[in-house]
Amino acid sequence: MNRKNSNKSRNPNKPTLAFYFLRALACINKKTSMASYNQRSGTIKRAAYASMALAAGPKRAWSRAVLCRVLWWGSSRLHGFPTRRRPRAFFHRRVRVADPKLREPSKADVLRRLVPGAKAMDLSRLLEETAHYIQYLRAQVLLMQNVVGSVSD
Amino acid sequence: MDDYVCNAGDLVPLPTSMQSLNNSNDHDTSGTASYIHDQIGIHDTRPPIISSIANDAGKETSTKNSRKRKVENISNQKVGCGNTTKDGTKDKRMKEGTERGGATEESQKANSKKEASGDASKRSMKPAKSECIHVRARRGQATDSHSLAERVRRERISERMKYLQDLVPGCNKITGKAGMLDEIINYVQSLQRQVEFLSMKLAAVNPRLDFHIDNFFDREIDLACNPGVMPMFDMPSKQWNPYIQFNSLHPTTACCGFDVDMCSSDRILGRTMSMSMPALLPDTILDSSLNVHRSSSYPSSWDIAGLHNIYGVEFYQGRRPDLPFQSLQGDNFP
Repeated sequence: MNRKNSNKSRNPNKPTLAFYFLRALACINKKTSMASYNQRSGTIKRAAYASMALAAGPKRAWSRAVLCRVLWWGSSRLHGFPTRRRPRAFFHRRVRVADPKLREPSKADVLRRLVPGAKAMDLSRLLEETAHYIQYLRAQVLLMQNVVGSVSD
Repeated sequence: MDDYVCNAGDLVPLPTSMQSLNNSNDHDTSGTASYIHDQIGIHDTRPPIISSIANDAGKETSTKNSRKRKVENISNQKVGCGNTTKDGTKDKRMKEGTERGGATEESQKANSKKEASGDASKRSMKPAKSECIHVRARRGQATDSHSLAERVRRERISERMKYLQDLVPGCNKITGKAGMLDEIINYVQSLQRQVEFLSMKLAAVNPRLDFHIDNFFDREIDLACNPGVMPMFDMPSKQWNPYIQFNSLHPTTACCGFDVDMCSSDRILGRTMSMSMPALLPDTILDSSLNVHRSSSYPSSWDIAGLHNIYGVEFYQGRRPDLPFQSLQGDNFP
């Protein structure tokens, strides 16, 4: 028996994505007119990831991790806290590995570093999250390309 | 190839009577896991723990096979793995119960090496009881519980690799996990670099975005509030053309159903993740600086109205000093 098709939950909802991203852009437009170019581009990048995570919903580990990271970053900046320390400890389900520093990072570990929130997952779950993440990344890239294309014309 | 994720609505929690049968299982986690499956549909990634039970007779197809078969219980840690029932007597069969209310999971350990071939051919392909996940060892392979679980895990991984092969372009010729992982890593890295590059481009052209955005937001918020209304966007920017066709699908679920999902998953997140995230989430920030109404801290992060303000403050503040400024190529990844 095949598994049920959960296509709807898999494919990114593009209008939602677009909505969140454009709203973020509008906010950034209004408030960062004086900021430097680097600051603005970093802000826009974070807005892109946050809108991606929002559109993905809380059911995915990567979207929760991304959103928490973004919110934590904003909160720490607001309160003047040092922003070096990442809130990974809140999400990090510790996986005890023998001599983790001696172990050469395998490809799965590299992937775990790339995909947010996937640090303590086994391989099958990691692959699932990666697939979902790739879908949303691709949608976000398309959206941004369209925005840039339409504006620069 | 999207069919390996189980639909969340199909799952029901294990009845407590079944949990009593699982000798070696952690009752709390299995209950929690089934509840998670109930609401979220996340696959539990723990391999099935097969524990033996002395006599749990008469579950299914027990008549035809000969001696030395034990009926075992797999703890319900794996759901949603319904491979198709293959034909033939030698194949592994994993069925997912349609009524999972009485989910008895068993694995029949077929002692395939000692089965006569004739007997094996007569092994009935009676459909298993709908509640069971049924794992049968293949002929000529080890039949202990560890290898069964290992095989299940490997099949799951290969299934997901196949799905990823469809997602990542240019991977059709690559076989093997290592090559595929390399490709996946490269693809994810390139997508992330593209996002960064495009955000730099947007920062350069940002001031010119003003004139369209406000109009659009008013319309979009109207759309969210009045799901029945479908205004056509007459915005001159052509970025919406690819997306307008999606608007007809689920205007409500884009925003309204979204919030509904938040509530249930919020409870689960609070329970299962058991982290201090609600506390971490900037209650003080929201209250003090943004004047956002929030019911509880976590849903507010996904609350549409609330996030507007979060975006406003936090993106204004932000800079990420540890991110290197990369020079990027701009070609599209096909």
